[in-house]
Amino acid sequence: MTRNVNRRSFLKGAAGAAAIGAASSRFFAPNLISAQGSGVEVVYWTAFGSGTNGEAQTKLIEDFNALDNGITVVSTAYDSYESVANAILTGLDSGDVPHVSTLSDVWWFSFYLRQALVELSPYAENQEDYIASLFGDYTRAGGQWGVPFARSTPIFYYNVEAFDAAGVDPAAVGKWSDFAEVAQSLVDGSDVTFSFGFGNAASYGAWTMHGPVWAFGGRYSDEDFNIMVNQPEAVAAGEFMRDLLQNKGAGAVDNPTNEFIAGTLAAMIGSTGSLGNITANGTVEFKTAKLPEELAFGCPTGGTGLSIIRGASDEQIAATAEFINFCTNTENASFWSQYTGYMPVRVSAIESEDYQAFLAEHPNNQVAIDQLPLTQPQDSARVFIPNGDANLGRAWEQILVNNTPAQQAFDEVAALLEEDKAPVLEALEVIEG
Amino acid sequence: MAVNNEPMSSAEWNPQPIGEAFYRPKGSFGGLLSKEWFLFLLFVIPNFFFLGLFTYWPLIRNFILSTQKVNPYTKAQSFAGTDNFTWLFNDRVFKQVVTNTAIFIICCVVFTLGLGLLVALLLNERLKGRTAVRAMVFAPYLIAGSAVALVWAYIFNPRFGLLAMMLGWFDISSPRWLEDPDWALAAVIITYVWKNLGFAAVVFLAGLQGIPKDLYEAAKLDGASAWWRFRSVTLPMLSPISFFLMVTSVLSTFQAFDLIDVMTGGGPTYSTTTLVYYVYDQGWMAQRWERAAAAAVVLFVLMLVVTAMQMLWERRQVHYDGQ
Repeated sequence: MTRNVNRRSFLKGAAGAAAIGAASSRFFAPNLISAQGSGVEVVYWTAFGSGTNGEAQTKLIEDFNALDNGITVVSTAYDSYESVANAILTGLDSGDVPHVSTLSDVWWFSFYLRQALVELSPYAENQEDYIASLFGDYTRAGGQWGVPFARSTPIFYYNVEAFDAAGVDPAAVGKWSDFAEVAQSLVDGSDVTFSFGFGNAASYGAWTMHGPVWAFGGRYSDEDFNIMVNQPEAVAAGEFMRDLLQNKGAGAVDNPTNEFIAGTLAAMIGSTGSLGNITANGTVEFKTAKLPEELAFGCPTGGTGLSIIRGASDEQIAATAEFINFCTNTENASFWSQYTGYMPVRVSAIESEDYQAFLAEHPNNQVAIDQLPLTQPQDSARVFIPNGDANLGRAWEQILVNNTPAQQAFDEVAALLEEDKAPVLEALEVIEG
Repeated sequence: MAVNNEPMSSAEWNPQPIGEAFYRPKGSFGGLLSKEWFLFLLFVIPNFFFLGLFTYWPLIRNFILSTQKVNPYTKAQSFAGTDNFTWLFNDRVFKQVVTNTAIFIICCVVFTLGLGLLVALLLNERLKGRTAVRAMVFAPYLIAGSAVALVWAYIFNPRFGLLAMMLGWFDISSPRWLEDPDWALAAVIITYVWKNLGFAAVVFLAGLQGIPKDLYEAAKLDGASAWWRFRSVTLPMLSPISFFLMVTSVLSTFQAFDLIDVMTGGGPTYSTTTLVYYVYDQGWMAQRWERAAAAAVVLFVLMLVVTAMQMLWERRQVHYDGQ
């Protein structure tokens, strides 16, 4: 039997083909940096592919390859911490994973639970020289599962022109309640749109609000995964911020860093890792300060470390460790910090003449260094429960964007976190006993 | 050259098969199996194999996964029956996601096809520079979704975006497009329509140019107004094209991901999270693969139902070849 293809059957067929071909895909636009060389090839996936941070990352890779030590680093850059982690998750079953990768504060633990990381104690050089708190973030069950690389803390950024125009002395804003008192005058007395800019969940809103939660005496959870976000102290922080937004001229914006650069915010909490970007692109004079206190001071660490993914040969692991040690040695830790604004991860880097001279010229970076000893590792609910960051961020969105009472939003997210922590605890039981 | 027009006698009629392999004595079933069926299977089996391996097997695996409880770390797996579906249907967010998906699809398809037809009608007129305009209208369709999303995110910025500036000329304050849950989905829909309008317009234009002119002339002779000619000639004659565009548009809007990911990340407060983004969020971010699988099953069933409804509609409303 023959069947003629007419317009009807063609159109039907085309529609059917589209239906069969219906498959969603995640689009990445990896930026490949490769260099000629011989010997061992180290595959590196990084979250730093563009902007100031991307330039610094490229220089580190090029400098390493220029050593001509028989190791060549081939790098693929992704657009975010999440993209890198998703790509590795995809590759774990097929074996298409890098030797080394940036794994952020909220992702490394997921790979640790999958037992996909190489223990770095035998490979990391001068371990005692790393900033102890940053190095300790990757210590688990007596092993070292990563080393700090692009580590950051939140800091308080403020628009000097707006504060001057409104006649507000930044030094007098040491507490959140102080800021609340002057917040409306910042909007009324200057050209800014908002006294303070809150980010959304995608802008790591749960991270930037982590410090204020601690400052009000609350926690997202304790280290044993007991969820505490809906307890009165954290709720007080939520209500305070809701009031700041509803009544004191603050606003929830899509991207606080871009808004700050454009001069629409009088103040924001941002990452030290944005310092390079804001300095390079900012249109307003700005300064940084320690995060405001309230009942106490609270500031978490953040950012990303470097971890080796399991599956490589001993030779490749050793070569990869050389690259990690290169990226985090005194000279490069200093370079990376100066160029990007991330924290220097070695004591010797901070103490180096080069870095001290840089700090003398860049007081905004000095603030982050001064604040560093006061920082603490983050609560497990945000960093160790999968999607904890996004879920807490969405709870903050509910409070700040939808004007939902903090108790209601935090109760809802607490239930979700309780549920989502179960597989983590099961896995920990298997791994750590 | 002399042409022999003499009729052929039956004795001369002796057609030869195209190649001996195709020769099959009438009634020989064994010959059929060994020859034509062999060739048929040779062509079909590899296609079925790959279709099965890469399309149907994952579908089956996904359905199985949706009935499991999985620990993503230890890979421990146990049968959970319909628990994942029950969880989904009791989840406030999932209900919002299904609503978002319905609004997103209806708005995107209606506006893309409606405006696409309008643009096609304009481009079908003999206007100066229409070739350049056609290229300009089609160009957004060729641009990567993530690039379009980045540009539109800036356009929508209520403080320093292009739209805010233009609205400012008329003393109108800009909505907080991507920051306000009431506006965010509208912003994504506008971007989606802008990106895909050109494709619909070009396909409609091809359809318009295929309509026989004599139908319009006959309608004119009968005294039909422009509106009636459009209603009684253009629309029925475009119905196969409209059907094709509707099916493909519905399927592609079901799967829209890149614009949402770059522009809003599904927020604020889930206001732009559609089903496909929810699957990504549950699977890749929350690592609840079983819930992602259950949501994917719901997505699959919805797509199947919608496509089946469109096919039924096609039987009644679509006119092929002027029938």
